[in-house]
Amino acid sequence: MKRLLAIGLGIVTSIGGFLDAGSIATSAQAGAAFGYGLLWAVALGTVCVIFLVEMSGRFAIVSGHTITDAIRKRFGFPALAAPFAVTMLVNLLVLASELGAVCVALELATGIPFQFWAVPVAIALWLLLWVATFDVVEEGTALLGLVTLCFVVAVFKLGAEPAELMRATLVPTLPTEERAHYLFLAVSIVGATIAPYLFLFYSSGAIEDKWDKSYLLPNRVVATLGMLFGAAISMAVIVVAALTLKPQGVRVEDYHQAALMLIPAFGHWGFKLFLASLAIACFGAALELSLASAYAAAQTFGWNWGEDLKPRRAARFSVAYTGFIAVATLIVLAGVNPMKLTLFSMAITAVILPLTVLPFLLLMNDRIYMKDHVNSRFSNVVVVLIVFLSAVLALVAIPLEMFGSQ
Amino acid sequence: MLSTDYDANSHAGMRLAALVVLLALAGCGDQRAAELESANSWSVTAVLAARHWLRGEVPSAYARRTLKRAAEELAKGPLPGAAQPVEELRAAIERRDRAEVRALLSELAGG
Repeated sequence: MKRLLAIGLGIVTSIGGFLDAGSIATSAQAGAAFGYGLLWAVALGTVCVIFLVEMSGRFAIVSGHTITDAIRKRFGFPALAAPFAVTMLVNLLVLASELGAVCVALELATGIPFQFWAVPVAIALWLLLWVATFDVVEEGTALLGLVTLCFVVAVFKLGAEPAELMRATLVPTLPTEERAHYLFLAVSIVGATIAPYLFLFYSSGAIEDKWDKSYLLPNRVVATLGMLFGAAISMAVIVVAALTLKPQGVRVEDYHQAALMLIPAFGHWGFKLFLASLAIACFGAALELSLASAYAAAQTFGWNWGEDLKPRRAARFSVAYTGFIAVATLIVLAGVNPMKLTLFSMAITAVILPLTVLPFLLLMNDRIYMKDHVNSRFSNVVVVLIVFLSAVLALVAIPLEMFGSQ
Repeated sequence: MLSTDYDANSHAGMRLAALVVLLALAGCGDQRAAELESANSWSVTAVLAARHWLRGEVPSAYARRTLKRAAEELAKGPLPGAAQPVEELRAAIERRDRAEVRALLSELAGG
């Protein structure tokens, strides 16, 4: 019974915590520009993230280590230095885009420019991390994040054609126009779906929650169903944008435009639901990102770490997330368009995926750590293929998007 | 009901968008086409935001900010003249002059 409850809660928190600025921005833009044409990209990213999240949980359970900690011990600090530096830099950009999106939600509600919200939002974020326990951070924000299910309800209310959705999800198509932008959005969606912070956070969470081998099955069920249902929300954002914004000719270049997408389904509630979804999902993601980055820093340098520890018992860990939030706040204060920042962060995430994923895959096949629970060949092949394909496509798509070639 | 409302909603937006496109019919390249599409998108956004404001579906603060943003984007785009009607809509919303907003939207729809 206790296990069933744990599974249920795990799935619910995975669903509520799935959507973030990356998913909302990339999916809204994809749906408005290409209709259902990029649903397959969410499906591709989801297959990969299911494998990665399951692996990160299994690794923590069997080895008793987090991923970063084990990479440092197995390959030494020099091997970890480059992936660590790059991951931190990208995490910083992604955190700035999450913070920026929360601030934009407040701008949309109040009319006060988003930069003015940067400091109050950052303080709220920091304060919650300072005083709350891991369970409050993980489950509290994810439960509130269930508001994002409104996108799924909107799909039904707007009467999307299931057969058409299924076809677009399973069969990738290439548009005749704007291929560079299509490719850029495809890799951004994959980057948003396979966010490395997600599985780094998950493995640290498994250690924080002291998972033992009895959690192997719950881990598999939570990773599969949680990510699958979570991805359904991302897909719903694409579908809603395709049904409401694309026919009008609205291209989502800014959250002001995306905010209109739920109104045809819910009237005045549509606007409020969009703001709540954006603010809660991105605030939750900002909490997880700050923690994931502090975990990575602490585990790389061998510091004390743990959200459940009092800040004075994990001082450097607490300083790490404090500094991280401070720098991200400066990026928001600089006034960069949060949606543009999000899209580029997601595309860059796709580029660096091999750096984060490959050392992890090596560990997943190392019997010293994994004993009889090493990866199957199938899961290795699937993850390597998707990650490398995404990275190569991102390397092509980013310059094309930046220099405006069609 | 939903789609009909939304079709009507976008009517004025389509007119304004058509105006934007017509104004720029003289030959243009890929870059220009992308800029025009963006201008079209912002003009439709402005009209939708004003329509939703009239129906009480979005707050005034949102409508004002969105129309301001739309006017800025249109002003720096290929057809800065398209920013003018959007700016007028924003000013009418600022004054909470519903009749004026309605009149401006019908003017655009009839235009």
